Amino acid sequence: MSEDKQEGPSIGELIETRRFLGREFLAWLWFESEVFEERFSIEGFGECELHLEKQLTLESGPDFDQSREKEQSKLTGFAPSGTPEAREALRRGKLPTKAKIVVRRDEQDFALVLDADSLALSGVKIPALIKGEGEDPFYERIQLIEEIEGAIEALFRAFLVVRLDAAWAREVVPAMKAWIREEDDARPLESYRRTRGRLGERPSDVSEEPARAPRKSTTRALVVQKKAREG
Amino acid sequence: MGALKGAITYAKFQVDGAVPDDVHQKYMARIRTRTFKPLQPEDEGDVAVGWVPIERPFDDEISFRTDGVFFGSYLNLALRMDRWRFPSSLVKAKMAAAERQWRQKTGKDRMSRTEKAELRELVDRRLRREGVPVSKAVDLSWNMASGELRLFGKSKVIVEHFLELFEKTFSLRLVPAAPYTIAKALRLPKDLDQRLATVEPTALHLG
Repeated sequence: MSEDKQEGPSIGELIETRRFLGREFLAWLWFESEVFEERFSIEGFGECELHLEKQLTLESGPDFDQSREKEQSKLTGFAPSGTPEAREALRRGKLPTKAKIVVRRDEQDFALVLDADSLALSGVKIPALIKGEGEDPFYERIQLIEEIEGAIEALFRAFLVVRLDAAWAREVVPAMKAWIREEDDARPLESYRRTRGRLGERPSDVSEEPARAPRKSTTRALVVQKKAREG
Repeated sequence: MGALKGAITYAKFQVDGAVPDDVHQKYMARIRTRTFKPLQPEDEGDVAVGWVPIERPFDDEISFRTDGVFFGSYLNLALRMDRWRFPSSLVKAKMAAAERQWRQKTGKDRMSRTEKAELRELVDRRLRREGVPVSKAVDLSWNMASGELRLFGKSKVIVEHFLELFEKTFSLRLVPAAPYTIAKALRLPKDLDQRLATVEPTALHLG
């Protein structure tokens, strides 16, 4: 790409030309939720179930030429990601651009619509606020928002660790292709599970600057408080 | 909407730059210089944009208290935007009536372009005096410890006004969240971080 140029690309160019990572992330998240039967362990958030539901949009691309007409599939219903139309759209080269995601942890549901091109969250549903008397509801609300946003970012980080590793082309892409084609051969998926286990932890060679600290789990503490109050 | 109650839909930004040590005093003064000023029928422009307190965005008397803006390490404000907006059918009807009156008064049949523009201005001003502007307020919550800022509204017009007003008020740049900027903030291992600049899309449907 631009690595041969004398001057590197601007931040604006890098933002625009790397938007495809959001779409690939959403496709990977969908793939992971099916391969690991919705079970996730998210750094800083904990064990949870995650699945796509009700709303899924796929678009042809990546396409940064705005003049070209986009081919789009908007799927709705109880579980559109499980429909033959969704898999067919993937086979035709479309990638998810928007999806409703539900995350359940400790019987508490978070839900959101993730826009792949910006990784922006909309329609976020957080567990009911559990404020005590005299407490400001702002802090609880913003902490819950930051918590679910932090979980999505931790998943994006886990994706990038896989995506930017040499194993992506060697093991992940064949497994995702087999999943897209709904092949009977289980070997690529088995190989992927092993790869994920290996790449899941990369605590070593981090860059000189410290990683952003995992966000604290707010709701767990609040649930404990609430249960204590309820006796 | 957003930071305190209502729907949670937002655009996220990273604030680029350091906040001053005497942040409360400095920023309160700056916010007050960009406080929302209501539209007047005589104003030249048809949009007014400015800051209002997050808890009382539509009050007639706008005043800021430090404890209503700073919540721990968060700075919370609302951007208020008022606009003169009238249905085009109403404007057309008022304009037709004004043209009839003009013809009776002047005895002329045709209007020059300048006369028409003057009449349109007169009609606009009358509508403004009779009506009220359309008001909208959008919350923002800026975590000054992490530099993350959430604007609880995503309409293009609001975001454009917000970017301009924020940068004028705080003299800080805003970087919109996107896969690339989020990836950079995640501080990946060095080798992976370097690959971000060269990674190419994968065709998952081919082969």
